[in-house]
Amino acid sequence: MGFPKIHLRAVLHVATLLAMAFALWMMFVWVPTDINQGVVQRILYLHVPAAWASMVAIVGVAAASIIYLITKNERWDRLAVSMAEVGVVFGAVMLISGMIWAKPVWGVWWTGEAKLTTALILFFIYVAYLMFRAYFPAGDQRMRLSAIIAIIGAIDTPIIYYASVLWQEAHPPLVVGPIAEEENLVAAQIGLTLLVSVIAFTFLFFSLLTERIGLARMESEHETLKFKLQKSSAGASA
Amino acid sequence: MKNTPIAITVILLSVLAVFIPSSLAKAQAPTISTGVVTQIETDDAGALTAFSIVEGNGDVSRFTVSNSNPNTSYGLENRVGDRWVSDQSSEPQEAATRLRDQQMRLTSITVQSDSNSVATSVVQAESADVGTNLGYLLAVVAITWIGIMAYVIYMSARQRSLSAELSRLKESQSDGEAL
Repeated sequence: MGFPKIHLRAVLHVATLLAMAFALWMMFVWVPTDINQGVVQRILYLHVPAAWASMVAIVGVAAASIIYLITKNERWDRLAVSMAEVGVVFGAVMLISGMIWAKPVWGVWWTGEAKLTTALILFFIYVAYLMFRAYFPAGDQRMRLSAIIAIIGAIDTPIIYYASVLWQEAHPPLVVGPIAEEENLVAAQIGLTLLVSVIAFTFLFFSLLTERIGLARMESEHETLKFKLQKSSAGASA
Repeated sequence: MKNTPIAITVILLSVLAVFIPSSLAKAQAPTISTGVVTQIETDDAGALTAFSIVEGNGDVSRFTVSNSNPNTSYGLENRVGDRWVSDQSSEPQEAATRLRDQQMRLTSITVQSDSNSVATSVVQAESADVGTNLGYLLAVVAITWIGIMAYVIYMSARQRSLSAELSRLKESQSDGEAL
């Protein structure tokens, strides 16, 4: 019965590879250079998809945590921690790429504007969640408390999305999505490249996630087995 | 459970496929003109209000600038190649100064405008030096892929060590049961 699982994973990984190769070709060859910012504008095609993936992760962590609190099924806890860890990777890419892009365009590495600050808070929420899980003893209490942390942390997600609308600062207004205004919409070629890049990063996110879920399953098995052995050796010595 | 990530991918991709193209469909292609600045108009405060360029075929085009809907954006280089990036609402006086500099040097600029001849962006055509800001782009690409590859290697190493540890624990367990 292991064959279909490997097959589906392999299909996902190959799809990720093809989508990413196509996205890279579009972002570095097909799309024209932006006449305003020059080549540095191409950072958009890595920065925005990384931000998208980290937002998907935190929403996923919160959703899995809610389901865990309702069902008490450990699989949802494993999904939540896997999403959080992959989300940290994409969150770090988002922050670092944003800082490097800000330097030539804004003249500074970092400003205290709302979108940057709330994105940094999101990153710290992920890190705090993972640190809590690393240092708190394994068991039901850890799963319950970390689920609550994840749900509280998810409140930050809509604030980040609407930050450039609520507080108009250095970040440009929303260029895609349901609340983007018509004069802010990006040119068709830029938008299409961004769309393909977001799809490719979504594939990459789920590719990494499936691997991380497998690892979480092994970690869980390891903890259970270790606990059983400790219990049986304690029983034997008694 | 094993199909959950793929099912979520399909749902997310479907959502993206619906709302992003619908936004993109509304985008309209702007008019693009390239030429040398011939005239600059300012208000009493020295803020840029309009300018004209002469194109390669001798046609003169006049453009007004706007600080909202659209907010005219600028990307102009000075003599030493430093690029000034700003917009009309932030630095209207500086825009006039920079355009005068372009006019004096007879450098070619590219103007994107809407149907009412309102300039949406005024930029100096990119020089042949593709190295302009290329270092920043390369840094982002390198950090992104090195970061992701490092994470994949970390997961792989952790899977191997856990797998070995699990085998060891299972052996201990079966030894204990045999005793």
